[in-house]
Amino acid sequence: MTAPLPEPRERLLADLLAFVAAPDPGTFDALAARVVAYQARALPEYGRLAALAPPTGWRDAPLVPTDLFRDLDLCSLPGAAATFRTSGTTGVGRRGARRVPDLRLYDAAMRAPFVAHVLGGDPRPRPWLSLIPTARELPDSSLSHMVSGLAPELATTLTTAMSVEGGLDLDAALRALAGDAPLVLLTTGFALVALLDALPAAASAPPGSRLMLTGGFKGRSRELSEPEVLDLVAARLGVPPARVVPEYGMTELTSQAYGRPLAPNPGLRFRVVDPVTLDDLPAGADGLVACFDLLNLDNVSAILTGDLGRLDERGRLTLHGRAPDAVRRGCSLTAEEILERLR
Amino acid sequence: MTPALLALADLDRGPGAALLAATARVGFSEPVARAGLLAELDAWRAPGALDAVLAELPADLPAAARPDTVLVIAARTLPASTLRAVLMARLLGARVLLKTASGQDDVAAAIAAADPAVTPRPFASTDLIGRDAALADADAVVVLGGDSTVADVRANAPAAAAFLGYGHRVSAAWVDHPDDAVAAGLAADLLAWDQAGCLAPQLVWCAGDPVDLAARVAAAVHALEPALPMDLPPGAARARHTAATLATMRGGHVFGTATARVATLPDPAFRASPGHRFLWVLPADEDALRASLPVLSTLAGDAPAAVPLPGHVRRCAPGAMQRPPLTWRHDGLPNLLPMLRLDAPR
Repeated sequence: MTAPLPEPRERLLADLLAFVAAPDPGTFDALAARVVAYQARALPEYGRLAALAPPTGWRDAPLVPTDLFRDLDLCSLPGAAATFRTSGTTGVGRRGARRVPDLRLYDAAMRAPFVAHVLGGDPRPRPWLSLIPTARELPDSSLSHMVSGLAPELATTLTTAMSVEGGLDLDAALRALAGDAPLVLLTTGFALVALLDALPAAASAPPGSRLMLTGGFKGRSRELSEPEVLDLVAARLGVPPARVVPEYGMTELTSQAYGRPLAPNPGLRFRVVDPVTLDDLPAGADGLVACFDLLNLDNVSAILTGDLGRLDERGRLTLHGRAPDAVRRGCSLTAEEILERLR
Repeated sequence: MTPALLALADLDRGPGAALLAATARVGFSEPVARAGLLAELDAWRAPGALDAVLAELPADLPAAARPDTVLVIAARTLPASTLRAVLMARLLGARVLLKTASGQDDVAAAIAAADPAVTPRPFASTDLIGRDAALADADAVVVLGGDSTVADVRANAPAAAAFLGYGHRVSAAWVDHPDDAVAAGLAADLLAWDQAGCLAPQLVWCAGDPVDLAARVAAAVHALEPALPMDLPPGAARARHTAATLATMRGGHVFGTATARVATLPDPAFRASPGHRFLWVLPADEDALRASLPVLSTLAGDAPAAVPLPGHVRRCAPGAMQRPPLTWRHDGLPNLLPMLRLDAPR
């Protein structure tokens, strides 16, 4: 027999929506404890994990590695308003998937931090140039969902100059860049490199433009460090580093983080943990990045990523790339090689 | 027959000591490296072992059929496999050009120090000119590596050269009657070479109670591991944590020791271990075994196999997985015949 939930989902959802509408950091811990208790009952797989060492709050909530989103359907409700999938850039083989039965938290939470960071606090609509394929073309991309969801309210025009099928639409990008009004440019690292490589020397963005940059540059046509990217963006697009806003989000999370260092949205907390013991590391120490996303109500909130990073005293994160896997010694097949052969 | 190479069996002095040190530098504790090398060298010294291998050759084999020079490319393999490939070529009387995996140059040097007929022939995997020059100097080529490496070398080997390629596989066990003796054997298999290599068990299918067997294996590992220590590489910790978390979330049990994890899952489908001493114990299922046969190298077991095994799958008792006899047909292939210069099509 299924154990009763500690409280009705709708009550918790209502409190989380209220938190999103008026974030009060002082209520985070209590809400997090309720979310963890709810998830431990609502999702049997997580309940088994929590039973090993019953958590008391977000800091000791058992961490679920992001890789397990490839193996498990970590969702406590039936149905899917959306199913977001990983891009596959951080590993080979199967893509991770997060089924989201209810997008209300997702959609409610993304606006205010986006305005605060990407738009510099000014919510007045302005033209957008997006190098992120539309949600219509990529319905399983959480990033595409975010851009397509925010544009109707915050963009005067939305020019999407990147598609899965056609790649970069340079003409469309140039038309958007040729406008007079300050532009909001939304891009992944991969798409930005494609644009910079294709851009004629004379092209640049209108003064006052801002750029949101997400994703890394590893494994692409060429790899760039962040200073190199900022220099290139300033030189080629005329957008100074202060107006280039990094975004950190992932398929497994509802919330995002923005800035340099990355400041988590109100519903998100970062931890940096020792890769072997998973114990918290102090500010300034490098380790594996873990997240607690209060708004992942119907999935799991405590996530262990494969990213390396370092926290500052205010809980903001500086990323240092992906954690390397151990080199396998000997001639045995890797898991992915086995799957490929048995497929 | 091959006195020079057999000198490597003394791991405390001379080239044997150098081989031991080089093997440890690959990433093993000295006791694990020593145990692994001795297991291989013991197979060489088993009574009649060398003659049993040579019995593979036709009695009327013309001298011209034997290769003069064999290029051994040990692209990603354990030193024990490299040793065996070199030994086989030397049993034919051939000179050996030896290219070892990245980071194993000292292994090649130690083998060469024991036998002047072995010459290290290093080249980077991206050095196609170096590779092709080495291929041109050999009339037989032996490759141990991934599928793409084997295919790549085969495609670029001279048409007249004999070719023998060993791809990567995995191994498993099937236990009908779990007891402490079986568990002890599986523990030894798990700890040998820290579960590296294609002969190491990734999982055990258990016809009895998987949780009981997992507990027994963990207890046996606990008893063995002080003599066979391992430091978990930091990069391996996340994969181990992921696998253990999966087991717990799926309703399995995870038994931990100082260096290993033994975990059960309710689903019998083949699941690769993250390595570094992580063993899955799954409920026995003939369909799951049958589905995994294409990638299996060895199936250990305490009873006859539950399903017919293809020729490339070696059968052995628990505890012998990482100790194949010298006559073992790696991937089901003869050890010597493919290196001969015969007119048979490649």
